Amino acid sequence: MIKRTLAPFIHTEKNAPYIYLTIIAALVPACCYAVFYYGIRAALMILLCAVSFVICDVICSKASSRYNSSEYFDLSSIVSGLVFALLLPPDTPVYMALAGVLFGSVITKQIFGGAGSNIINPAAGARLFIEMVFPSGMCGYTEPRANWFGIESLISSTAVPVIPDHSELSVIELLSGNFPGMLGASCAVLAVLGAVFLLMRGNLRLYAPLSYIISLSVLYYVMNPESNLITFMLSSGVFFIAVFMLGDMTTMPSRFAAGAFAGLVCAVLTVVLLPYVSLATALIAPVVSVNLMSFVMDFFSKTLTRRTKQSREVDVL
Amino acid sequence: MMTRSQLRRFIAECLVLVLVSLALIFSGYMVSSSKSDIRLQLSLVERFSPVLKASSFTETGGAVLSAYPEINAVYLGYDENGEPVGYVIDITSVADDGTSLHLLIGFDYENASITGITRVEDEDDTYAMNPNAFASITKKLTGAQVPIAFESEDDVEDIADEVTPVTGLKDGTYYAQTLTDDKNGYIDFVEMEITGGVITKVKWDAFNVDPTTEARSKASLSGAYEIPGLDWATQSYNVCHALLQAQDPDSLAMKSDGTTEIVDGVTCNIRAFVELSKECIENSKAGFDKREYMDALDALFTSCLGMSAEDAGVVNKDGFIVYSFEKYPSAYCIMSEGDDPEILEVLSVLEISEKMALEDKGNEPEETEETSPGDETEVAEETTETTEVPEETEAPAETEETVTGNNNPNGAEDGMVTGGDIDKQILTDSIDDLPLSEIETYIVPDEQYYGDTRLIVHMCNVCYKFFKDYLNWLV
Repeated sequence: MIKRTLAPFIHTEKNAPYIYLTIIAALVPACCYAVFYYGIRAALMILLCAVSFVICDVICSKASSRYNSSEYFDLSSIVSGLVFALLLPPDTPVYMALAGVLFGSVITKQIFGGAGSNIINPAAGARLFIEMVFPSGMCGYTEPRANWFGIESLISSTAVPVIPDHSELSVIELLSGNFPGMLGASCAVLAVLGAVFLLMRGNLRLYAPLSYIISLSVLYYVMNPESNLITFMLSSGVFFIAVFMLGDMTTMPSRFAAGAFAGLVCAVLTVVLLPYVSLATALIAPVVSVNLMSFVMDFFSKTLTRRTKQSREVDVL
Repeated sequence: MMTRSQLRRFIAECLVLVLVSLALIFSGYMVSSSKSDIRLQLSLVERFSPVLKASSFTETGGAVLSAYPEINAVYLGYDENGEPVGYVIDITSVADDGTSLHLLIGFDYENASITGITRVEDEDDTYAMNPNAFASITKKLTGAQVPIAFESEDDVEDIADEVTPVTGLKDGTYYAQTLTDDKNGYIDFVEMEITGGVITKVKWDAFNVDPTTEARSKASLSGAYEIPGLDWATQSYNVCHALLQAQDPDSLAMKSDGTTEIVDGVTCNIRAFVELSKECIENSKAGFDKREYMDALDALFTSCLGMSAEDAGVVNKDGFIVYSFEKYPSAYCIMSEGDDPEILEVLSVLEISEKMALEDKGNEPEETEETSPGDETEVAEETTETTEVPEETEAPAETEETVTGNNNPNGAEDGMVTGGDIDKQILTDSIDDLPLSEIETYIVPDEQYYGDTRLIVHMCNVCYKFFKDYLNWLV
């Protein structure tokens, strides 16, 4: 009996479930951070986002007759749900999160063909969507370790919309992540730890993240010489976005030059947007933009490399 | 696919990752928490310095805060030694014109006097007020003990001075209790102390025939016994306080449905209280003190059940006989003769005691024979009311008596003082739903800033009500 399967036909231990499992493992530190600082509501939110992302993906796949257990149980939905949840403010109501999940799963992922075929990062799309639709609901930044057992904020937005001021934080506080910020994206150290783990497992391309962080540091310093660069870099979630969004293998360019260029473009767009929009929008909108351009970047990168190679061959001849 | 050894290695690496991350998170928290606490405390000390001088603050309030939507947050301030020095309450109130005033009010820890008031000028604060007006009002209120009222609202003290006490009272402790329980199984009692011919102490409470049910005041404070308005314990206190001021139960202007409108904060049925207070006064006039009352009640119990109350196990730990004589109406009532006897009069324990004493001597009391038919009808009405204590929340039946207000045996208008002596009424205004008896400070408002002052005083009184609930102050 002939079994029909989809490409690729090269089989290694690094198949899709393995890669996504590694990413999930790399996200565990950020999840631990979220639960430690924001309590039960963080655990429930992370669980809810991951489970609802999986359910949405499975329902969409079934509805479009693409469902195949071996094909779709690749853990990408869990990764998207986790990344999305960790980018939320701690006091985000459930209905807002679910709206984001629905958008991320259906519009940004399943409409384009599901796992591996999506053009933009589902988590980035979802987060940007709810930032646009519920701008005041995305301001529930409460103090860490406050109301650890409270879950009322999951039902309705009780927090007074306040954008946290990180200007007075010490470096130790910034490194530890002990300040009001996103659920799991605020601690740069843990994002770097996750990146190290992914690198050890060979599942992270560093071109785009490194290019992004370096470019952003330089550009931010040039554009805002009076602002505190270290505070911005360590408190804004830049490292988390660099590792788990710009390091995404599906939606980011795969070639070195394209990846580095994508990181640069992302940094430029972030610095341009920062004075005009919210921090989350300024960080995530460029990621979505770069996702949309990644095919083009890869294409030009490939073409330019070929042309360079051909011209060298001609010179030799 | 991973081999088993690869999977084991992967799991081991994941575990190491988790352990390292947990160590980083915990150590990071330990190192940084002191810094964030210090920063937070500095910001709080700076923010609250205009209203309360303290070295550190903690947020408090608990679940009680949910009952006070105007209060945003409550902070408890401590000095350098960690001793509490006062509270700061962050409060926003809406004025009549729809704008809101956002204040920080500081209170002294010892006596709940105001240590300072400052305005928080943010988006919540839209109330238009002249800065001079605010300075003048805060100057007046600083140092004042809450709750606060305007002097013009103070009518009660003057009237209280004019009260004429009931004459012929003998000093001592007097007591009376209902002989039947109400629908909830409670037996009301009133204990009254008389010194120098003046009522100096009154206590109204009720114990339950079910020994596992706590007294009504305790049950009301714990939430097990609920009535509309303030809790029963507070209402009981208010009505007792009103009696101390008036010195005469008739001055409470009880209406035909058992309620009164002239005692602030009292919405419950006070019929049992009025009747028992009158009984205590009669007992005092006759020199029938609490001990004799208890002996008489015990004798009544023995005559009904053939054993003493103690032997029957109906004496509670406080020494009260907790028994409903409902099954023995002939023991405490005068019944009409015939096949279907009706209650003509409910006797007080003093009267029962006298009746029993006369019976012991072989004589019958003469009052029954002397009762005229016209009186009987009137007494019968009163009897029915006394034996059937209406439910607290029950609406009054719209009888002719209720409408005309002629239910009072003395012929007074319903809800008015006997004899229509308006000067004897306790005419009080409710100030922020607080009885005037609780007001600690009276201020004279500037006429030009009357509205502003009223709003700020209201906010101070809201803080007082919060303290009363939160600190479980018993008035």
